[in-house]
Amino acid sequence: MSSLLLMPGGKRPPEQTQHNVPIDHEGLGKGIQLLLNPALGPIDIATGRAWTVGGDVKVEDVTRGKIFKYPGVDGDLHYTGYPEISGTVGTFFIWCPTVGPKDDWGHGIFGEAATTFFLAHQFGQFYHMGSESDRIFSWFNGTNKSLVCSSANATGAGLKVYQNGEDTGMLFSAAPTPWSSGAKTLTIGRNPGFGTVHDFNGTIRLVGYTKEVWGKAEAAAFHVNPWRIFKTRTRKLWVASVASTEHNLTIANGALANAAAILAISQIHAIAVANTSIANSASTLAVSQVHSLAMANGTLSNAAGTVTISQGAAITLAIAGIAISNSAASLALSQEHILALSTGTIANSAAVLSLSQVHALSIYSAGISNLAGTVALESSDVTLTIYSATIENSTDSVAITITLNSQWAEEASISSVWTLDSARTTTWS
Amino acid sequence: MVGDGGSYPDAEFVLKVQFVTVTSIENKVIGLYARPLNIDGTSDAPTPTTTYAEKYIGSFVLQASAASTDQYLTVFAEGLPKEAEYYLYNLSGQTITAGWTLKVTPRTYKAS
Repeated sequence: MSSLLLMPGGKRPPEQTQHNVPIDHEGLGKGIQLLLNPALGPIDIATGRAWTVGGDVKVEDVTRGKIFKYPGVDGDLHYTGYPEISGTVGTFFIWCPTVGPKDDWGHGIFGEAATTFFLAHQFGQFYHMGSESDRIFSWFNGTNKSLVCSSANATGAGLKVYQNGEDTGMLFSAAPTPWSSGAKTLTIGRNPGFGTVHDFNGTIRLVGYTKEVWGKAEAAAFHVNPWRIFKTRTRKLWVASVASTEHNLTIANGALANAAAILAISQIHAIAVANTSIANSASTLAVSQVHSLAMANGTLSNAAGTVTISQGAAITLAIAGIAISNSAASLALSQEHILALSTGTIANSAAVLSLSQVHALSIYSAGISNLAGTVALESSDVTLTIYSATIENSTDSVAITITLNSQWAEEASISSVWTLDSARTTTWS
Repeated sequence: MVGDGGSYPDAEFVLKVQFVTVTSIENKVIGLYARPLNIDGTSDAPTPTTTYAEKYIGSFVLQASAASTDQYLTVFAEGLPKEAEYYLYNLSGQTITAGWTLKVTPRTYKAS
């Protein structure tokens, strides 16, 4: 099976058409009554009339097609007929790749006899259907020029001249001369009423006449692409069969269920950000990624029992020798403790876990100043030894009070060496 | 010729032609015209004349060939009449030597 694709709206010819392309009678080609394309010779595309090539005019090949070449000596294109062209309403248009120097009296561009003519005069005025302009304009010696002359009615105010798509602004006071009724000799590139003094010098790519009245938009469109006059071709594309190979569009097993539910298709994308540099910006840089969490054979049993956590570290607590100064201030003893626990197991229990340790406290050569305050030493298991305590002479009694817990009182062994002074009192309790 | 009797609305015309005298024939043309036939029952359109051309089809653009040498020229035409006679209009300025041929290959868009 083969398929035919019709694609309307193709491009208009971008360059000169080399065969007979239909005129776009619904577009810029509307109302065309005369149209000459040198690629098809001196034959009017609109009517099929074959014009006569006179003098030194000829068709020449150029880079982008063909042109009517006017050497500017003695030549023209002409035809006697065209009774359908009449009155004063219409537009003459011409596109010239080159415009040469003026002839003796300028360039006769188009017209009928010496009455209804379009002529660029040697002094710069322009004649539009025989009506002279109020000012001069630049026509001679140029390239890629378009000229559009429209007449909207039978008055001079209805005459407009556009050059290269722009309104020249020229005004015409006299009314245009209407075309003769019936057959008439139309001439392109010469003013037939004035011999050879108005021969056009230059080249023509496209020239014609329409009964429509062109404005600035049409003149501009014509200047940009004169081939807009022709119809847009419908493009037909074939997908052809070759032997058993077919180039068809197939939808395989496409099924669409009737469902009100929304069909969601999701996919996780891996986002890789490689060595990104983040510029200082007020905007927020967002990098998102979907993470996959893998759990390998995880089993959680339902148990009310206790969980045992054990650790095998040993903790050691050591206290190095310290010096305790005699001061009324509170004695601050600081030490970093290293607590060693050997493979302790902590059971799950409501009871309070207590950690106890016996400290050995030794005080050597403590100098105790004579103070009224009390020095209290308390310990549940203390071996107290006082060496060579010097007690200064004082009128006040020096009382050393050692209080033992009653449960240990009997077992306490207290030894002392005192240098007694009668004047002093030793009190034991 | 029945132009689109088989749904062939377009055609390619090929003209074989030669001239004994080839002076100034380059880029001059031979016009191709159609006279539609049987457009109202068995009535036809008028025969083309130098002042009346019912339907212009295209132009064979001449080459500056050597004298008495065949040259083959082509015209591609779109939207031909359903049935028509075809006429040549010699605008070369020289006489065409007898023995010329005009061949036509109907074309359309369909599966090859």
